[in-house]
Amino acid sequence: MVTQSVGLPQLVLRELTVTFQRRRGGTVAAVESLDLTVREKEFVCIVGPSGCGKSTMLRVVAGLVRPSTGEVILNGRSVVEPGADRGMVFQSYTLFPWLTVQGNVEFGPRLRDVPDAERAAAARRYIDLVGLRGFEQSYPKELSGGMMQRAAIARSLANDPEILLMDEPFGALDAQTRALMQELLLNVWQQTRKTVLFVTHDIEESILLGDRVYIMTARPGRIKEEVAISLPRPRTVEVVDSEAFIRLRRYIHKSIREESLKVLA
Amino acid sequence: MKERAPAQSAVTPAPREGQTRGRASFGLQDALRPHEPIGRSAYLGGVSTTVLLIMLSWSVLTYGGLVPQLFLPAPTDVIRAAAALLREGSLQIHTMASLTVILTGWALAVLIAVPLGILMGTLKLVEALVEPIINFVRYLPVSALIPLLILYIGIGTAEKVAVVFIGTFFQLVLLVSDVSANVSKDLLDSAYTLGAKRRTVLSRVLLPATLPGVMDNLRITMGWAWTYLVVAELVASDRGLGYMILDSMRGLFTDRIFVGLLTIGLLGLMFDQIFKWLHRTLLPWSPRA
Repeated sequence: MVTQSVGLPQLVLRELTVTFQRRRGGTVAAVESLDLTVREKEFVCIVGPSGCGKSTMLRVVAGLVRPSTGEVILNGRSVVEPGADRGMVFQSYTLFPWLTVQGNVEFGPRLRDVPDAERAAAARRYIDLVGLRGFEQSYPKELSGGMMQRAAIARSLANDPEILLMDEPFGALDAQTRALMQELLLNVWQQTRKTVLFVTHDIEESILLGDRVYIMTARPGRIKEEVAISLPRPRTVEVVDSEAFIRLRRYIHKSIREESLKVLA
Repeated sequence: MKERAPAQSAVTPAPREGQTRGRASFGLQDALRPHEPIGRSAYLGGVSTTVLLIMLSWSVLTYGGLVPQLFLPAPTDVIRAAAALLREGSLQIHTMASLTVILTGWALAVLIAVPLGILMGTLKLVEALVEPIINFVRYLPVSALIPLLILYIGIGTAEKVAVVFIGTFFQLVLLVSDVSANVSKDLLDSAYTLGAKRRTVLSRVLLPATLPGVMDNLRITMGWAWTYLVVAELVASDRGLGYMILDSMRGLFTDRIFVGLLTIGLLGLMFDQIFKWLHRTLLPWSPRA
């Protein structure tokens, strides 16, 4: 059952360059003339050597960083500032500590003055979806790292964004929890079919989750190549043992290794 | 999906070097491990040991006649002096005078320093405007300003309030600005990506995020405020606990000096407990509550 639902291009990054001012004068490019496209309902992963600018690129899409040149176009509109149409899940724990899980999930809808009943229903739905029923009234300090990230995913989804941006959301979790979270995300994605742009340095994670994987070059980051992941969906973690998976992993690994070595050389 | 640490298993093997044991029972070995929690009863045991040791050495030194009464009065002498001061009503008057000054000066400082500190930690422009002055004044000991303040406003309540205010204000601004500067950028950014605008991020994210840190600093500066107050009262005053101590020294009433010291210590302890209670009650979500 191949669900290669090739939709229309939803997110387009065109000739994106981000340079930062060095403290002692001069500039350094984090991302250089980067092009990529994400289609509707697609799950796209970006992998690359550490420090290659993948997070910077994602922050530009979120509107948190301004590009030096080039542009980001979401559904035909140019992105100029952050907005509720692009939800983002960070690697660090960003739940608001003074709000309960429910309060956190309702944060976005509350800003848009969604009526109480509707807001509560949406919160319930997404809290259930990420498996946090029973923890609605818990404060973040009472949750484990994995639970906090699940709540953060629910909080982003409750805003019903057009695209979900994920910046190594499981990077701070231990290996077992990370595996569970990947499975949960596959499940959530299968049910919501949100467009996702997912940044990670974990090659296996990118193959397990993505429809396509973009490999970035070493800094300054640009797209080195694009790998289609035609593993059948719905996927489960068992897929990592398949031959196709292992082949893909070897291929991407080699490609990234070339880039990492460039930095060392 | 369970990710939390499993509950302590029924069979608890004896902890080895560097291991944590999750049970209340423990020996001295466990208590001497760095950062290791100890049981509540063990903790209270430690507290009472210290208190008893102090009381014991105090009694031995005084009743045993090892130290002249002029330098160290016996516990019963101090209690008698306290009773006398209470009967005269002077202990109440001095305590109230000190409390009035400290609460007024400290509250005024808090009222201005907290918002200013938050702005300073948040907006680089405010930091540039305010920081040079504050960093300069901060290193001037308030005691050095007392003569000037007496010259300007006399030796009444207003002067003491000013001393407490100045002593607290400049420190508090910097402490609070540090708190707000340390609010995680990702926390603010996630609010933006949820659709919040600048003003909302400030009022609904940055402000609540600073509360635990602000609360801690209120408690700390209240402690400092006592120092400034007593210094001011020692220099020139006609009431307050500092004045009471100075006045007792003039008459060589060492027991009364001790009553003054104990009162200040106990009030400090009380304020500390009140702040801790407020933190737990008002900010139950705080990791430090």
